Amino acid sequence: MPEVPLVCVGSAAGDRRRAHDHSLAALGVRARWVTWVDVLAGTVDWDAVLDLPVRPVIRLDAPSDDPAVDAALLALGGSPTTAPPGTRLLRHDHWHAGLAEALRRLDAQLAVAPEHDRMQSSDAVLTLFDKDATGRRLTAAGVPTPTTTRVASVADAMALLRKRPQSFVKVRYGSSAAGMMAVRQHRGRWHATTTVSQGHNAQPRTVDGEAAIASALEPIVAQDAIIQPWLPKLTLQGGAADFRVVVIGGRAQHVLPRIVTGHPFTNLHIGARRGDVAAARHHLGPVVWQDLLAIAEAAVAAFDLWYAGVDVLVSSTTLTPTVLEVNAFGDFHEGIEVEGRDTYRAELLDWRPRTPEVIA
Amino acid sequence: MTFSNVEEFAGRTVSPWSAGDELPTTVIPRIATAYDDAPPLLETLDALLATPGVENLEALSIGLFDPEAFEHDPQPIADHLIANAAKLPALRTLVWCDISYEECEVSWFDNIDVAPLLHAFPQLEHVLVRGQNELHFTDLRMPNLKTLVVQGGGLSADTVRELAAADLPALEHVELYLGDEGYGADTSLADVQPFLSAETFPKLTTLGLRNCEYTDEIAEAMPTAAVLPQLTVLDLSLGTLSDRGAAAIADHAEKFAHLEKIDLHHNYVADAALKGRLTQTFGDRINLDPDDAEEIDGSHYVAIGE
Repeated sequence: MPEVPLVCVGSAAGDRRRAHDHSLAALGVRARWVTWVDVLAGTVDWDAVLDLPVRPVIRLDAPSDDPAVDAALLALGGSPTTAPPGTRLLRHDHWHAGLAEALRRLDAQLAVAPEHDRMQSSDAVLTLFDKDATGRRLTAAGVPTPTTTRVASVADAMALLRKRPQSFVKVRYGSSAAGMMAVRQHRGRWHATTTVSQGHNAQPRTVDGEAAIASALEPIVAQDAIIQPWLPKLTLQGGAADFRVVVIGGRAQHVLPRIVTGHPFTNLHIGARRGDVAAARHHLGPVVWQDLLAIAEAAVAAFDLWYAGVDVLVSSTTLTPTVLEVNAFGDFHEGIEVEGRDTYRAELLDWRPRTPEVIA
Repeated sequence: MTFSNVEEFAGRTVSPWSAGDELPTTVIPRIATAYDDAPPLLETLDALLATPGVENLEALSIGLFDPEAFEHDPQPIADHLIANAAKLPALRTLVWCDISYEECEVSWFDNIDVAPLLHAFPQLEHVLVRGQNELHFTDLRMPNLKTLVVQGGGLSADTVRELAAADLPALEHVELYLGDEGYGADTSLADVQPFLSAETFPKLTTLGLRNCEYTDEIAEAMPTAAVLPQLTVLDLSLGTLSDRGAAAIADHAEKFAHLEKIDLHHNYVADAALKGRLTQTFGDRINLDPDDAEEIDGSHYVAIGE
C-alpha cells in the first residue's frame, strides 16, 4: 500500500495501532510508525522516517498502547520498576513526570529533524494529562467546566467534601477513570463509589461511612488530587449519559453517547455502554445538540491540537453542557463513522497545517 | 441498577422545561432545580403556571425539588400545586419526584403523604410517584385514576397497605417497586395479597409487582389469584424469580395462557429445561432475560438497590 505523509508515534503492536492501520487500509494507504520505546531510547532515525515526498505530519498516539511504555514512563517518573500487583493505584504523578520526560526527548529529537508538522504540541498533550491545568486552561478560555480545586491532604479533601452534597475526587494526573471517587454526604451520612480497585475486580465498588471514605481517599490524595462538584448527568436510553465528542480540525465530527447505570462513571471499560447517537440527537433537539458540539469545539480550540476527544456532560435539569475532560488520545473509537469516515480517516483527510507560513 | 429520570410514562416522553420555554402539547415537561445554577423549583413552577396555555397542560413532572433534597421534603411544592390546582384543569398525568440517582439517591430524600396533592386533581388518570421515605397515600380516593406506578428502593408495609385500601375504581394498571429490605422494604406476600384479588381494583389489567425480594412467592400465588383471569400483563421483573417461581408458572401454564405479556426480566432462573418450557409455551409474550442478575454468595438481589 502507498504511504501517506503521516508519521505516528505509538506502539509496535497495540490495539490502537492495529485499529489505525486497519482504518487507513480502507483508504488503501498506510502511515509510518515509530515507537515510544525508540523515542525514549533515542534510536529513531528521523532523517529516514521523515524522508517523504510531501512534508510529513507527526501524530502522537497513546503511550499506554504498549504496557512496557507505561512501565517505562512510571520508572522515569520515580516509581519502583516492579509495582506490587493488583491492589494499589498506579502513581499517575510519576507517569505524568515520565511523559514530560518522553516529550522533552521527542521535542529535542524533532528540533534537529527534517521539516515536518505536528498534530499536537507536546505542551498540549502534557497539559491534558493534568486535570488541574486543564481546568484552568478551559476556564481562562471561557469554556464551562466544573470548578476544580486541588487538595493536598485527606483532611483538606474531607473538609471540602463536607461543603457540597456530592463531589468527584480524581487523581490530578489521571486518565480513563483511574483513581476516581464519587462521594455523597449529608449530616454525617457518607456514601461513595470508587474506581480504585481492591484486588483484581476492576468494577467500581461502594464505600460507606466517613472513616472508610477518608481511608479510601488516601491513595488518591497521596499523589495529588482535585475535587470537582458532581453535576447530575441527564438520563438517556435508560441510564445516565455523557458524550464523547471527537473534534477534528476545529469541527466536532464523531459523537458517542456513553450510558451507565448503577454507578456514575461513564467509561466503557467499567460498565458503561455505547448509546444510539441518532436517538440522542433527536431527543436533545437541534439547539442543545449545537450547544453540545460548540462547547466541545471551544474546548479543543483552547489547546494546540489538531484533534481531541472531549467529554461533555449535559445537565439533567437545564440541558446546558459542561466540559468534563479533554482527552489528547480520545480518538480510539472503532466502528464509529460519520459519512464513511472514522476518527482516524477524518484526522488524515481533513489535515491541513495550521501554520501555513512556515511552509517554505 | 439505579433510578434514571423517567423517559416515558403513560405513552408520553419527558423533557426538561425551563422558564421561557413554550408549553409542550404531548411531551411531559419536567421542572426541577439543581445544585448550582438553576432557579428554585417554586420559581420555575410559578413561571409555568403563568405561561399562556397552562390551562391546557395535560401532563407535568416534578423533578429534583430542592438542591438539598435530603434536607427538605417536597411538601412546599405539593402545597403550591394544591393552591394553584384551578390553573391546571386539564392535568391528567403527574410524575412526582422524578429524581435520578445522579441527582439524589432515592433512599436519601423524604417524600410526603401524596394523597392531599392527588385529591386536589381528581381528574388525574396517570400518576407515577418515586421515593419511599415517609411516603403515604392516606385514604386515597381517585375516581379517574387508571395508572399508578410507585417506585422506590424499598416500599414499607404501611405504604403498600394504604395503596391496597385505596378507593381507585378505574385503576387498570398498577406497578409497585417493592424493593430491598436494606432500603425500607418490609412487606411480605400478605401485604400484596389484596392486589391479587379481583375485588380490590375491578378494572385491573396490568399488575406489576417489581423489584421484589420474594418474587417466587408471588409467582407461586399467581395461579390461584382471583385477579389473574382479568389481567393482560403480569410484570414480575427486576426481582428475584428463580426456578421455584418459574416452575409455578410453567406448571400452571394454562392459567397464564391468556396473558399478552409476562415480564420476568432480571431473574435467577437457572434450569434450562424450565426456560425452554416457558419459551415454548409463551413465545415472545414472555421476557426471560436474566439481565445482569448475578447470584452473590448464594443470595439473590433485586435489580434496584439505592
